[in-house]
Amino acid sequence: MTDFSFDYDELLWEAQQLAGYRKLAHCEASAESFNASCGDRIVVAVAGSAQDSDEVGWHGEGCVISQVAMSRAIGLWQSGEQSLEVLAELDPTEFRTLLGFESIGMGRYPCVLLAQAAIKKLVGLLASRTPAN
Amino acid sequence: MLKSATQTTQSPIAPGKVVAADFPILQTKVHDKTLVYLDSAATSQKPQVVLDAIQRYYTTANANVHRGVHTLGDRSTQAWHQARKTIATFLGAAADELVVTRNATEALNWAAQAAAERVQADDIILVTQLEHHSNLVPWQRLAEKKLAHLVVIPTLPTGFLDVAWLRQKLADLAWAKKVKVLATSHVSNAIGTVLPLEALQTLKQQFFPQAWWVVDGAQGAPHLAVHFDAWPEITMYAVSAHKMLGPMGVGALLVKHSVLENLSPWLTGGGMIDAVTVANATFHSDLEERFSAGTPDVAGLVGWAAACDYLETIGLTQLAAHDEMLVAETLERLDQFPKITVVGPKQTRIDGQLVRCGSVTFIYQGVHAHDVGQILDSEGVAVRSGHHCTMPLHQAYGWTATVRASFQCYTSSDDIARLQVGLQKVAQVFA
Repeated sequence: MTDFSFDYDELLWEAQQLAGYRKLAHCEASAESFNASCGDRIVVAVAGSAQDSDEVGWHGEGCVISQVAMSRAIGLWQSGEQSLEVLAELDPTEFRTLLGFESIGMGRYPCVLLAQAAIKKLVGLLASRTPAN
Repeated sequence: MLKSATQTTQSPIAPGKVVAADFPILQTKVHDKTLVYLDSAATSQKPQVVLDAIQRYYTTANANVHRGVHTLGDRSTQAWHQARKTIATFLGAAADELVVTRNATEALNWAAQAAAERVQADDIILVTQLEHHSNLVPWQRLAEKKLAHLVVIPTLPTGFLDVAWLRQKLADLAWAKKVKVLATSHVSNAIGTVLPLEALQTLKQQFFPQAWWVVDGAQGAPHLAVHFDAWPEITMYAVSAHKMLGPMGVGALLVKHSVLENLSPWLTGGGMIDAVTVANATFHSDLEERFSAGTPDVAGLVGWAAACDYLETIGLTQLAAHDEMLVAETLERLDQFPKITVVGPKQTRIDGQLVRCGSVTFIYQGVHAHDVGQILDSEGVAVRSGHHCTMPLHQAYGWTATVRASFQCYTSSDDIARLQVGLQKVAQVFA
């Protein structure tokens, strides 16, 4: 059996400079994911067009993993490597692996997936507001 | 013939490091460090005697009970009855007051279902703010279904039940008359508070003797002596084997004889019937049989009985004293961390009465409970992080999540010292 472990120092460093962490003054849409089991919370919002990564912001509270996971997801989006839609639709295992959390224990999966839950809600919200062609 | 589960020929053994040697899993390494298991409130570890008893049952006596005339059937039936008797005696009850379930959760759900007949619209179901979801959600559902009122007895900021609040409410005799169920824990799984059973007993006798009192004993039975038949006001008491050194998947609801004989079985089918036709069935007159539908978990009961014998060998008084020592030591060690706040009672005794047992729960300021738990795990120390199935209690006090270290007979002072070392690492990492 494999014992899971990861470098907390690295995560703590990242937690000091979370990508995209800010509350938007005006947002077109925002979505929240909350883990009632532990109080972890992520609110992600977009202003204007979702294609413009400068107009993305998120804030939250919770364990280091949940916050860093969201930061890494937003980082991938900001760099153009992944779209919000793709991030939302990834299999949970793929999502974790993409964000570099393949080595965490199962007890921490919900912490990582909180980010995906918030992104999925936001994508759904934006899709429902897109007028049909 | 299967060795009697009641044979206790060993001399008393000292809890702590001596006892720990009897638990094979405690030799396990976690992240290359010897495991320090401080999550016994979630589930306890099992001594070799329990593992041996289960294996011995399956290798020498496994057969269905009361269903054959062959030797193995006899062995298994004897083992089943003997195990039931051992467990019931350990809990201060008669064997036919023991209704076997999968765990305390199932026991409490059945208690709520059984109470449905006596709860009517506008009646009151009393619960406490300390309750585990298993002793809250079933009552919520019953209240909703029967249009009854679910009333929550609050706790004080100290972690104690606000008995004065209850006393004040009961002064309204018309209100008191409407109380049909009192559902409380024996010991809080979240913050270790020992509930004042005597005080509640006095109030019940005086103001609402008509009510059923259902006690969640999941955290009480592993640490404190249970005298079910000596507690006249307690109607039902739920326990889980796996929290008291027994296997997972078996538990019980103790039900006062006078109540049980008037209840309908909640599970029907094989084994509990007297006679069956296509149109009808009558149930067994013997209570042990009537409330044992289907093939029972004989191996689980045999293992649980072995656990009861093992705890008796240690001695319940010695066990309780050991637990109190561990709680006191943990409180003292945690006091050295300025960023740690213990939740629940800050002492083990007040005026000679035990007020806290089994665990110490705390908040580490500025560090999420999951992060504390993860770093402790990296040091080989297992604790629980989260809400411990007590969301309403956590919400009431604004606790996002807490960390709980919980103890059993195999926990030693060395384990508490390792917890302290682990918390020092938390302090370093999050400096």
